[in-house]
Amino acid sequence: MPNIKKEFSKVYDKYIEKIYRFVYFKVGSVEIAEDLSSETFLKYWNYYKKSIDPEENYEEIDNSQAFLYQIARNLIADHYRKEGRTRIVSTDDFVIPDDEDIHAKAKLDSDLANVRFALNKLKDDYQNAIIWHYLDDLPVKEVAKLLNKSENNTRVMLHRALKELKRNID
Amino acid sequence: MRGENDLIQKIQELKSVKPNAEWVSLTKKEILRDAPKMSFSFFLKPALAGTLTLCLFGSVFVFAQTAIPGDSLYPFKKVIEKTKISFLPEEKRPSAQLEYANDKLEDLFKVVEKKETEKVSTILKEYQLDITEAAQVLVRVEKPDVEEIVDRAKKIENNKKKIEALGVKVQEVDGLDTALSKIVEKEIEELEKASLSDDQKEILEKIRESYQNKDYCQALEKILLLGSKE
Repeated sequence: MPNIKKEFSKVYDKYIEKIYRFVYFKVGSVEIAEDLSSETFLKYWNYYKKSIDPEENYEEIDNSQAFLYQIARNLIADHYRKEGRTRIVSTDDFVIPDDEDIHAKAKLDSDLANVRFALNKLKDDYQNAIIWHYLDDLPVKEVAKLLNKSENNTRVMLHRALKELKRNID
Repeated sequence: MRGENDLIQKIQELKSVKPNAEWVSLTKKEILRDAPKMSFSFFLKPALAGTLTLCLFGSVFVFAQTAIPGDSLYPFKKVIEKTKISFLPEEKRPSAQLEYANDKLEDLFKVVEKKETEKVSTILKEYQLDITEAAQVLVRVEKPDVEEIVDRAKKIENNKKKIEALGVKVQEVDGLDTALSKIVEKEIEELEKASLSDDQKEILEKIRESYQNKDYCQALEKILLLGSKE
């Protein structure tokens, strides 16, 4: 029997930052992002344990990353469904007056906050495509699988998503 | 934003958004709690291991209480704060988060007095994080405890004045004001629907004035006053 704790640890260490960031950009709150990310990995862990138990009739996880993103997406959807919550978009970036180059720092922070804000305004598929491809460095092939689209359609979608993001920022 | 490459570069800079390292480590431990026993149990008897773990956590817990942002034990304090908040009923969470923000200002006051300037920016950042969290919780909570929120917001205002008198500007994030303004708006809407005495109508007028002057704390105080006259 494989050392399941070790195997899970590897998956956790590899994807925790990506999953947290993915959730954080969708919900805009550290507290909720932490709750939903830990729930994502807990669900993964519970499934993983069953998938390697021959007595349980669970399919093996063949792509941990895709599986984790799918759990996270479902949890985010549940989160917004509950009590008809709407997205909280925060443009707060923490500008701390701790260096001489304060104006440059403030400009940099505000640029990033604008990108975050504009990203949050995109429709869900566009957001996912941009996060997965440009932020999480997933190849188009993987993004296409996650979006359940052809590679060509995914390329077109990425192009449109970037265009709309730029329009939102400008 | 100039071109597509510039935009892609900016998107990639968002990689700087990372989870808190302590949270990452504690979450993994928590998930794996029901996993097969860890190796140290083989060379320590379970009872002794349990006692040692308890002692260790006890000591960390006690020392972490007095940690300030930048101290090595501060991440533990942060985890303890979050855990405490998660056990509170929803309506009490915003005021608890504001209490933590106020604690940061008290820490800030102490370090400014001691002229430990290297700690100022870290504490300010933690203060702003607490305020942002409080604002976000405040927006989500259906019926927040207004009395406690007013109390904490006033403490924060007083501490800010004390710190600014020592020459340090406490840069504010605007989320809290927005959240407070929404509470005031909601209360005003409800009061406008209620049948009020002349005295109460006069107070409602003052509430509107404070709201228009963006003095949301004062507006909330008057809302409490009006509530006490019912």
